[in-house]
Amino acid sequence: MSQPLPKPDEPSLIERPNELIQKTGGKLEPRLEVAATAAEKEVNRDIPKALHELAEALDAVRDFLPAENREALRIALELKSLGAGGGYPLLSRVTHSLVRILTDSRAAADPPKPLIDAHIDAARAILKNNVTGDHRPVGLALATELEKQSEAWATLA
Amino acid sequence: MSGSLTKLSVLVVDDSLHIRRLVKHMLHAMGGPTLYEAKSAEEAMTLIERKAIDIAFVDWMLEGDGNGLELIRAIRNMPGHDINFLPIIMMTGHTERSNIEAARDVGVTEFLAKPFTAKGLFQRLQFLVENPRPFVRTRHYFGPDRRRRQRGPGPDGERRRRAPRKETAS
Repeated sequence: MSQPLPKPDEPSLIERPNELIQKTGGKLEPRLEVAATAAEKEVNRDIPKALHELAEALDAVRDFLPAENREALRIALELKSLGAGGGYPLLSRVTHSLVRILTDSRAAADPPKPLIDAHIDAARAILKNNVTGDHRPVGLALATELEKQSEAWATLA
Repeated sequence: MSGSLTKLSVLVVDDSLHIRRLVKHMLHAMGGPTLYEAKSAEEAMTLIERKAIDIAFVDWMLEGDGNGLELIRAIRNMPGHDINFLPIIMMTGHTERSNIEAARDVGVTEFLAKPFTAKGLFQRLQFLVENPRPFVRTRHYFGPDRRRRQRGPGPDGERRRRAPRKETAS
């Protein structure tokens, strides 16, 4: 096992043998990507159920902000990610907007509760009405307005 | 010769059950490397100390007190371990430029922005296997070379006054 080298005064470039290609036995075969894509589709079938569970969890922590800011952020990030991957782009936009609020340091001390509540209610409504895609006008208007409001809050002096 | 993942050990560190499941299923479908899972930085460090991990997928937010950045910093600074050189793919929804720069500065090897696809995951693995980054050690940084675009023809003399001297490590 190599020992860590003492930190030098000048930058050093450390070249190592490519252990990964030794273990894989060569370049990765393209068929691996095809197989992974099939697995992705299978797992993504469960996304709507996971989204509903996350939305419930987000609803449950909203009354405990700012103490539960970290948990709310964790759930919002997951809704954003799964929403986009699972065909709910408007949910992803709304939760991205919520993430923006929750990652602002001011939210930790004095969270804008009405604005956060509006985001959570919108996320739940999108799921309740199964608003997939980004073409439904009411959902689109809602997401756009929430983004505007969080932008306005973020830029407040 | 065609490569497969069967001889690799992969660690997936994410507090989201769904993401762990997704990565696990994709990797399993790609030939089934040995998989380890952790929800927190503490669990991950325990596995890293006990198992010979070849690649780690690490989320930014983790269960418990630590986060992904702190975990990566700890891995890069473990004294006397080859694990310092562990290829680490950061999976994150924190895709703002400042966050990406912060992650690069603690020694992330590749990024996989959430939501990710099987194609994205496969491409990151391809980079790691076929185009591994050398490591750089300076007084303030130890980790993969962050100058991917400048690799090949050599360092840009205008932008970097001193070229890194080369070392080899087994």
